[in-house]
Amino acid sequence: MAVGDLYELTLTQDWRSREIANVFTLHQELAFIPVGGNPASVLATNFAIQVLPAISAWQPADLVTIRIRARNLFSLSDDFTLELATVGGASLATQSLPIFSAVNFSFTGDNPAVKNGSKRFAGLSEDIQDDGVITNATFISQMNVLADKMEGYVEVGILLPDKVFKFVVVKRIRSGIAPNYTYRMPATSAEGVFSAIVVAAFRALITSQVSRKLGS
Amino acid sequence: MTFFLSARFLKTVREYGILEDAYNRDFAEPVLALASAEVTRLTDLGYDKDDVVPVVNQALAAFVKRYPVSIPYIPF
Repeated sequence: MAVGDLYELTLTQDWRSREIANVFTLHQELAFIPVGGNPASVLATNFAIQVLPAISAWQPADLVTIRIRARNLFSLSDDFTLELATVGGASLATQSLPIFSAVNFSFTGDNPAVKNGSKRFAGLSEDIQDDGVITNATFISQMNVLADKMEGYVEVGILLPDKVFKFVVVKRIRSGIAPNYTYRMPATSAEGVFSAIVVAAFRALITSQVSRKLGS
Repeated sequence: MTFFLSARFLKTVREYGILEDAYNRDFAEPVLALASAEVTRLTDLGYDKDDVVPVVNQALAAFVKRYPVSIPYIPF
C-alpha cells in the first residue's frame, strides 16, 4: 500500500486437470493512487495485461491461466484475486512434453545477501527442443521477451506509465532448529530483505519441476 | 563509444557452447537467434551495426569453440 512494500503474486494455471503455480515477488518503488480497487488489484490486473501474454503466447492452447492472486506481504487487507480463462497461444498440433517439463529462468539479483532465484514454466511442445536442448529460434525469441519482462517492471498508469512494481527475489525468514528449519515470507517491512532482478536468463537445457510430478 | 553485451546473451551463448561440446553437435540455430537478438537490442539502443556485429562475433568465437563462428552465423 506504500512505497517499499513487497507483494507476492501467484500465477495459477491448469493443464489437463493439474494445477501449475508460479510465485513472483515484486517491490513497490513508486506511489500511485489505485482506481476502483486496492494496489494488489492494480498489480494483478496489470500483470495480466503486461506480463501474462509473454507467458501464455508459447504455451499450448489447452493450458489455461485460471487465476492471478496478488497480496501485500505487509498488509492483510491489500489482497486481490483475479479470475481468468486465458488459453495458451500455441497450436495443439504438435506433441507436448510432460507437465513436469519446464523451461528454467535463472535470476541474478543486485543484493548478495539474497540467494539468486529461478522460475520454471510448463507447457513445452516437443518441437522446440532437440534431445532436451532448446533449439527453436522462435521459441528463443519468445524467451527473450519473457526475460525482458521479468528483468523489468509491472507498470501503472495509462497515458504515461510509471515503473511501479519491480520484480525481486525476497529473502525468506528462517526459524526452527537444524536440520528442521522452516522458512516463511517476511511479514513486516523491517523483515523485508530483497534483491532486484538484474538478469533473467533462460537455460538452454530443459529442466523439470518436482512438485508437478505424479505422487508429489 | 562504449557498449556492453548483455549478461543474458553471454551466459546463454556460453551454455550453448558447452552443450555443443557435450552433445558433439552444432546448435547453430539457437546461437544465431541469440546473436540476432543481441545485435537488435544494441542497434535499438543507437549503436552502429558495424560496431556491434564484430563484438557479438567475438563473443560467439570465445564461447562456441567447437565450431568457430563468425559472420556467416549472422546474416545481416
